[in-house]
Amino acid sequence: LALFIANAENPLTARVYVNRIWQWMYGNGLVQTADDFGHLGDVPTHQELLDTLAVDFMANDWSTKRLIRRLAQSSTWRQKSVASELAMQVDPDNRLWHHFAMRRLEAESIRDAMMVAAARFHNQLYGPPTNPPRTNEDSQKRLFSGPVDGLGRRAIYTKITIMEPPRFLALFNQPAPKIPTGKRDVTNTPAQSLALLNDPTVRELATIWGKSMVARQGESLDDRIHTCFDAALSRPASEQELRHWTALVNDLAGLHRVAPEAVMTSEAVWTDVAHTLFNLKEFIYVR
Amino acid sequence: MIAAPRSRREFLRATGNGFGALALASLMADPTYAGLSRGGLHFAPRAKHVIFCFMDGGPSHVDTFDPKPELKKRQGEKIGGQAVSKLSQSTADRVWLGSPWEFRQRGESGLWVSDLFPQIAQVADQLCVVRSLVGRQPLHGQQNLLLHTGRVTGRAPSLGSWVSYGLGTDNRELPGYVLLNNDWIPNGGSENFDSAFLPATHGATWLRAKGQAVDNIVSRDAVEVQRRKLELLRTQDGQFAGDASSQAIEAAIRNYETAFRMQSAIPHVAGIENETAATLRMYGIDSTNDFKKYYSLQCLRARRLVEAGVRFVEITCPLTHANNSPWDQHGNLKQYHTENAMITEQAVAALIVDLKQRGLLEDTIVVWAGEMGRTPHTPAVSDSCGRDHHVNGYSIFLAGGGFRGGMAFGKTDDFGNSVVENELAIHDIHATILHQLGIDHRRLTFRFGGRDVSLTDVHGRVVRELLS
Repeated sequence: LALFIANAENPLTARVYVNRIWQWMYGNGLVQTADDFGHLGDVPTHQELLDTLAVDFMANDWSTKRLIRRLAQSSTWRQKSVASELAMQVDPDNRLWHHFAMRRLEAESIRDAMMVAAARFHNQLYGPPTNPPRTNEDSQKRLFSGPVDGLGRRAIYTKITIMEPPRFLALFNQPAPKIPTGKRDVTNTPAQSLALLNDPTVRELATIWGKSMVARQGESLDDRIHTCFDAALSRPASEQELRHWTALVNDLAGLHRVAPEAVMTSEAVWTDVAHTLFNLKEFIYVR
Repeated sequence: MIAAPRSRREFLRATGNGFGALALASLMADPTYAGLSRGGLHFAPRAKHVIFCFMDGGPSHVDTFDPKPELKKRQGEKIGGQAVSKLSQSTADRVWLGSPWEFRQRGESGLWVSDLFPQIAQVADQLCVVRSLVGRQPLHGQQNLLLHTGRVTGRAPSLGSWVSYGLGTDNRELPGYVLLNNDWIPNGGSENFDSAFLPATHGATWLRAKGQAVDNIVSRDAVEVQRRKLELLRTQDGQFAGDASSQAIEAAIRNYETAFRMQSAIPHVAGIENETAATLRMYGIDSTNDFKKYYSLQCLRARRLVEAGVRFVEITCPLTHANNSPWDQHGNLKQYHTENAMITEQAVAALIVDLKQRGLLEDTIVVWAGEMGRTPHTPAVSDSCGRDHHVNGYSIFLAGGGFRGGMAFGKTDDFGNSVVENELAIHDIHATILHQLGIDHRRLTFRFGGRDVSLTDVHGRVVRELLS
């Protein structure tokens, strides 16, 4: 059976795989129904492209790395995320890839990105999984609560139970563990905003980040804001942004009753700054 | 070609700063942000709210609202080839099964309700029963999606999302569509309750029965601190949205506004501390059975949400034992239909009574419906036998909101096996509900995939016979 599935005479496997990688990189597949290449599925928008990529993929030892490299070198990949009005009229769903559709990070990436920004991230491979934090433990159902910061390990090392999947991840559309899911939903709900505002993991990581910021000495306010932007958004702050964020820092200091000379060492202030950065749309949307 | 008039959205998206900045500046002043907010309603509305008691799994019509004495007389006889239908799990060698419950005429109207629902029977004069609903496929997922989104394939906005989109909200602190869940997600999944291509604000906000109703609802910041953060986010995100001209970002920005307000509004509306002991008893919140207690709690919350201005509230049933879905009794019909009735019917009846007492029933449509009925036949009669899937004529009821009480519409044959008079589709029910809310189902549309999509698509008619 394995030989049959991964046979050069059976291009379906490679097509499906290539389509999934495409979908993972571009947000949508060449065949939109990633799970269904049969009668009820969608037809590919670019049949020849899909076939070329599939053949090429097989010829290159089924190497995912090469495939990703190839896709990332394309001009389609390098497009801007802004669409022209004309293009939107002709092809509102972007089926012809006239722009790079903006994407929200996947659940795991959102959590991991916060850890990276907060420098709480350990890129350690393997080892036992950690339980997600829970509000109610239930030993009969084997539902145990884990550390709020997940020990800094990647979200992929979170223990998944069918009874109660990790809530933060589920909220951002990590699929339910029962069913193989070829394409994730991307919902957009007030509950997600509430989580980014109030979830214990988000708050804990903001605190860790805030503490690490105030531990750095001899840093100017501007420098620190730039460092924050770099960590969260991989870019420096603009002049205008510097002004806005400086104003935020000062106002927060006022609200927390921190004296002006103590601002740079105030955990409360910088934890709030870190938390605000986590809540930026730019933090969870890629374009 | 004449350029289509630009909607406010399009205008905002296209101009200078894009949606985010301008919209947020005016958000406080904008009460609705909805499809009809500018043009007004299509008709004078008879109702403002909907409460949908979703009985998923498929309560049996011939054991609740559609009496069939013939079934008892012919019990055990083979149904024969002519009774077989693709809209029913049926084969010719199955046998008719009489109802284990007695039917009686109730109230002044004499509406037939079985002994399965003694308390709903008390409000019979409020009920507008439809006995002739025909679905598409006798399958849970498909029928659930049809019932909610008007399509067996789903991927379209839920009825609640359309209502929220069409009417906007009376209360800016609460979402327009709230789902009161009981720890069980019906077949078809969350797609049943999604906004799909409508702006995401119109998707259902889920409130759990047990524990904290909504996760992360308690703010961890002092109010001023949180406000200051949100103020900065508004500026920064508005800029980002303007650059990216993306609907997703716009919706996400709006979600923060809703989230901010929900922090104070949800605990208030979910809390029942100020309700009297008599009210709690009437709904059954004093029950020692947890399933019943929490279902009752959700029904009481439904009333509170409607009072607070929420447009569409949906309540789902709990699943009490390993089964496909709560009302899906392929076996042990008597045992588990009794249990489901015990859990739900007192609270549903109390809800109708309570709404009426408070003068809210005039404005509120209560819908009681499963996604299917159950076969009037079974493979073999026994103490533990059940009924299977059946969409070829089944019963639902509506109450309040200008629906005529104490009536039954449509007729099935002597066995409840197919419709002989006034066949209706779910689209007709959708059209009629929207009509009562002041919306023309053909004109409430959203541009998607290059066409103006509506809930009822090319189907549906307003069933005036159901209206008072």
